[in-house]
Amino acid sequence: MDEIQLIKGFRSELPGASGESRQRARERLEGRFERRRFLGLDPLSRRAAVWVAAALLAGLLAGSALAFGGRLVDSIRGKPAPKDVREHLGYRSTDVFHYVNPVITSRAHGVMEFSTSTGRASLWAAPRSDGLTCLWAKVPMAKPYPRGSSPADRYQQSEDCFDRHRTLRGKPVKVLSWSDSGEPKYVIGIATRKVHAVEVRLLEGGARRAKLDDGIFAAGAPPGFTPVSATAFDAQGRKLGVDTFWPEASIPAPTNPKRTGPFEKKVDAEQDGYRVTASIAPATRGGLCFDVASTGTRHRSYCARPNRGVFPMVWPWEGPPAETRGDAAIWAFVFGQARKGVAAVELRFEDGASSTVPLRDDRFFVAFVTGMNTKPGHRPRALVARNSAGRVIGTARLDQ
Amino acid sequence: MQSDDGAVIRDSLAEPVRFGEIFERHYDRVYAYLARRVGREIGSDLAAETFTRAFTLRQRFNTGESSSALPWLFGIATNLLRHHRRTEVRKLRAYARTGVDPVLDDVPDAERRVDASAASRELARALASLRRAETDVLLLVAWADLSYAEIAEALGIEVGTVRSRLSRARTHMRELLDATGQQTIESAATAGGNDG
Repeated sequence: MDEIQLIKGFRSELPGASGESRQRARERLEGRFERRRFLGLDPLSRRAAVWVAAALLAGLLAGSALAFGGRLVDSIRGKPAPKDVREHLGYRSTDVFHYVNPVITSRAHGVMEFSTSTGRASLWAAPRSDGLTCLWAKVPMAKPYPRGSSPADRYQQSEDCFDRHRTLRGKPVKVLSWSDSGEPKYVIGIATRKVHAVEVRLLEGGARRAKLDDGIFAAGAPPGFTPVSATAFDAQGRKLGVDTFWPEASIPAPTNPKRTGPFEKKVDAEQDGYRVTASIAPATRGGLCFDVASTGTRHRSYCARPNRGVFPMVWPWEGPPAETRGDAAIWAFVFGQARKGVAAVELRFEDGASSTVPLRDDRFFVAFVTGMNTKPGHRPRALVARNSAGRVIGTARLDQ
Repeated sequence: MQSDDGAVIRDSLAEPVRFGEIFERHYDRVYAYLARRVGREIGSDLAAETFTRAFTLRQRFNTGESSSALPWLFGIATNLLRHHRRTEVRKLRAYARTGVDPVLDDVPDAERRVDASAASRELARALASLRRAETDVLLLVAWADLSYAEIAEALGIEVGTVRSRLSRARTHMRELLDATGQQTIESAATAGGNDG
């Protein structure tokens, strides 16, 4: 099935607008008709006058330091991050599987400021407990949202976490995030230590030199220009590489494996009062179809193509969601299959503990996650496969 | 015969109440799109704001490019959605994690909110990981039923850019669905038939 068709069906059951919501919107609009009549002024011309005045004032105050493309005096480099930045970087999910490693907010600090078409943007960084570095950019919006009270109403926000070695994969430069529609448009990325300069190419022609500091770069595009690629140069001005984020080629949508035979029950496991059953059926292109049922949730059926790793199939399942769970405790399970040659599987947790997962027919397994192991700091982190000699032959991460 | 949108908007410059016709013609589609992206409550608020802003900015409506105001309205709606991107992503991720879609959270039948399809959850996760510009193009195609030219008009970009963003979004979606080993999935009928 084509992705577009899949997406068309997604949330298609959402009901249309209620009469009440339509009425409220209509009244809000009509309020504008009335206000215009009452004031006897054209709001467009009033707004234009305010913008012109604001622009003149900003021009007088900001001077050359804030002028686009001018040299920006950096006031945040290396400085501890303020509270709003720390709070953002410290955001952390508390779900059983889909969590992020905690950011060490006490070490959050300023990286650089850079110019954009809407003004000065700031880039902040903090390390994560797993060694990654997280960047967060605060970029002023062209027009702040009218509610205007929270930072989200005034700033575009861009966040990325990276491991320099893994993210660059041997390339000299990599763009992590960019904005290429509306204003402002900008690019943020990383480069190797030997990169001396980074230029951001613009769709409409020309290029802009990015601000580069300690292997991190950022650049705003002039108003009306769109960034399309980043080019790295060494100290002698030689081109080292390009990262283009503007592909042209159209790639066909994937096809799906289809079930080719009947389901056969393979797993019926129970622990701490929770039960998981799974039936398996063959599918096209070497795939498998599953029908999984668990305590408190509906059956879930799916077909998939196996992975090439030591665990061809690994599925972390959250138990019943809070909305239907009521007062019952959180629980989850990991259902999967190990490859031939795997003699034992263990589940490792955030706190360093581990537990053995029994292998069933055809090396299918179910690992139950209950009690303390559903809490942050103790949640499942990885599956480990061992051969008959007890040697680790593969792992699969569960935190996503 | 119904006047085209351009004529109505031009008339509304002298007679503002005529803009109500634009509202009546297009509110349902704009609301439906916004509600699917960020939920009914925020969607309702943004739909109202879309028409209020459109009214304020109606002098800028370019009747030369299209007689329909829809692309223009979806352009305004998309701009407003930018400020709710994190909310949108958070809801998609929540759906991917739990199988319960927060966007349907006030739909009366609780069972309808629990989508047993692993495909839908993976789709939500994949949508959450797209870049905003890619998401906008992809969902304007899929949910707003706009043509490439209309999307280009809505977002103020070239048609070629629409194509490349769409291509990139689809590639990204495919990679993500492949990465989890879950291409798709038995039909929704199969999942529904197995309710137990």
